[in-house]
Parts: sequence; C-alpha cells; structure tokens
Amino acid sequence: MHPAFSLVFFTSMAGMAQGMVVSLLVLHLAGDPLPNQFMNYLAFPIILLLLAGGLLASFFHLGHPERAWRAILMWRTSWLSREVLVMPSFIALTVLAYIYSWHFSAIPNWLWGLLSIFAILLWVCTAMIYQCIRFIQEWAHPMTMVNFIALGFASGWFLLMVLFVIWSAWLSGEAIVTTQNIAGVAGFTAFLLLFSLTLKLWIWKRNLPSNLNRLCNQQPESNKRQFDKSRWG
Amino acid sequence: MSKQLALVIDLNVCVGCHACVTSCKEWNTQGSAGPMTDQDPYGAHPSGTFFNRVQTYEAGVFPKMETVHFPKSCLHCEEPPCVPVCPTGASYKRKEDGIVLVDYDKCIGCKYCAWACPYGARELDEDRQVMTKCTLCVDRIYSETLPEAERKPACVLACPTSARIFGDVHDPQSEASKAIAERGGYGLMPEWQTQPANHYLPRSITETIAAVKAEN
Repeated sequence: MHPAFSLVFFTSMAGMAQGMVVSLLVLHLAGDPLPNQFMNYLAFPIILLLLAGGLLASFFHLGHPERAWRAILMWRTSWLSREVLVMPSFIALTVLAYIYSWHFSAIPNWLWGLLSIFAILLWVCTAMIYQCIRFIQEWAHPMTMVNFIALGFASGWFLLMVLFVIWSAWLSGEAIVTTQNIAGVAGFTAFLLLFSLTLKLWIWKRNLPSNLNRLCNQQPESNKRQFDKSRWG
Repeated sequence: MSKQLALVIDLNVCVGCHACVTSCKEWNTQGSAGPMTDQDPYGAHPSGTFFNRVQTYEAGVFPKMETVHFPKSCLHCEEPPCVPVCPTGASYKRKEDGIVLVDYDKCIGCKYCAWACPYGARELDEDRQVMTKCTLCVDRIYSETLPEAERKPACVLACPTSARIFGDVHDPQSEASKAIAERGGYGLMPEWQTQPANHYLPRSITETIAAVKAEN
C-alpha cells in the first residue's frame, strides 16, 4: 500500500489541527486561561490553515474532484463517507469557536465539548477507513486507531508548545508557560512523544513480513482443506 | 433463490493464450463500459486498463513443477467488500443477477474500493480517472440484437479450449453449478468470507498423467 502524498498531507495536517484543538481543551480544563490574543492571532489561524490545507490536499487524490460532494451519500456503510461529513463539521465548529473567541473573548463549554467530540470523531473515521479493511492485516488492528489519535495529539500538542515559544519569545514577550507549570508541561510533552514513538515502533515490528505471515496462516482447518484442492494454493 | 451469474474457469484446459483478455478488451472498449484506455500503447512501457488478465506462473518445487495459467477478473463476490466502502454508491451489486458494477458517472476515483478488494480485480482507468472492472459483459448477455448463442461474456465465447463456463451458480441445474459440484470447483481465499461467485476447477491433469505413467 502506497497511499498518495495528498493523503499523507491530509492525515498529518488535519491530525495536527485536531491535536491542537484537543490540547487547547486540555489546557482549558487544567485551568490555565491562555491569553486571548494568543488564541485569536496565532492558535486559531494556524488550526484553520492546517484544516484548510488538509482539506485541499484531500481533493488531490481524487480522479474526479468536481464530484466530491457525492462522497457524503453512503455514510451508512462507508467510513470514508462518514469522514467526508465529519471533516467540514469540525471545520465549521472551529470557525464558530474562533468567532466566539474573537467577539466574546471566551469559548462556551458546550462548544468546547462539541469541538472535542468532533476532533475525536474525525480521528475515529480516518482510522476506521484503514482499520475496517480486514484483508490488509497491517491496518486491521485496534492499534491503527490508537496510532492516529496518539500521533495527532502528540503532533498538535508539540506544535502548540512551539507556538507558545514563538509567542513568548518574539510576539508578545509574555510567558505562557511559567516557572510554576513548566515541569508539568515538559513532562507531558515528553510522555506524548515517547508514547507515540513506542507505539509506532511496536506497529512497525508487528507489521514485519515474518510476523504477518504467521497471522495469515491462522485460518480454520476447513479453509485449508479447500485450498489444498488446488495444489499450488 | 436469487440469480447469481458467474464464471467457472477450468484450470485443466486453460493454455494461457490470452484470447479471453483480447476479446474482453475488444468488446468492452466499444461497449457500454468503454472506452478502456491505454497509456503509451506502442512505446517502451505500455500499460492500460483490462477487466481480465491471465497470470502465468510456475508452481511446485523442482522437479515436481507445473506451469499454471490463471485467468483473473472480478469474482462478483456474494459479499463484495468493495461495495460497502464506496463513499458515493458508484460501486454496487445488482440484486437481480448478482453482478458487481461501477457507475462511471458517480465514481469520484478515490480508489478506496481497489484497496478493499483482496483479489486486486479493480483497475483505475488512468485516462478517465474512474474505477473499472469486469461487468460480466452485462451489455452482451441481455442484448436483444445479438443472436441468442452470442449472449454470453466475450471471454467465454473467445476461449478456444472452452475453459470458461458462464451461468447461474445459484441454479443447481446450470452447467456452471454442475461443473462446480462434480469437479470440486472452489472459490478464491474463502477465509475472508467474500463468497466469490466465480469458481475455479482445480487441475487434475497432473494426477491423470501420473496415473497413466504408473499403469504403463
């Protein structure tokens, strides 16, 4: 399987945006109100740029992008169709949150809730597109979804930390991460990155050809006999 | 029981002549499924769209080896994994005869169905940018203008060794069903529960030759 580069861009950029939204929620719940100007001038524009870039990239893997609207039709059976519904909804909610943040300097709790639900839903849809194909044993495993969520969250969180530094060092001069909470923030960052790395290494090890051949041979006996009818099977 | 049209392919007599491949391309490039485009057809690296290909390979371990010609096209699964994943509904399975088809006007060319097909039966037409596959010559088999004897898939008519049998595998009296029942016809990769409608008749020719040699 060699997914198109457009899909790699889509998955990385959208996953990072989702990760940033969830990270902002985590900090919101932790009780550290982020500077409103940081949200309005840096965080939300970057999130929306990532989402727009991802959405644009996803069109490039289609043979007929002008018919892309049709992809919302089969949401009853197709995870791809569900993703096509959830992605614009997530973008719309992010825009709404941006408007709230801009005009009222705060995002209501119900919107935080909806935002995080749709961020996670989008991860679930993206992951299930791959995970639901049971013949591709590299993907047909619960760790596929854990992988999408972990890498999205870790990359979004990491980008947010980078933005904190840019904001504090060059843009405003005010420190977001203070001496009181720097240990917690650094520890959490290290944990996310280490967890993602370990998960990725575990998945790569599992997907070694020698391991997957073993999985393929776990068929019921009746099927094996049926194969043996053709002696080259 | 509903109808399930399919092909039964006799691996004993397929000689790998590719008549089914060329007749398939000839009919379908000008039929309702066409055109089936080619890229660089007369150049150094020709490629193109085919609904049916014959793969030839050697099986077994020396000296007990044999050359196998293996015609491969869409198997028109009874549980086709390519259909539910399609986000637009362009891929569908017909209730009336079980043929799996693609509506080229609805296909957005996302290629997800090709990932989901464990048999590699689907090919993206690089020029038209839509997914294509065997239609079981749906525009031939119901034709009212062709002579009745020719209302069969083009590959079946073209096969010089009659290796391809066309029929309703749900009808126990059909030639196809009888061949499956009497000669141990089997579906490919049964462990995935796709229940391919197309069946293959396993080779018995090697055993026959061995038995004859033993007698002499």
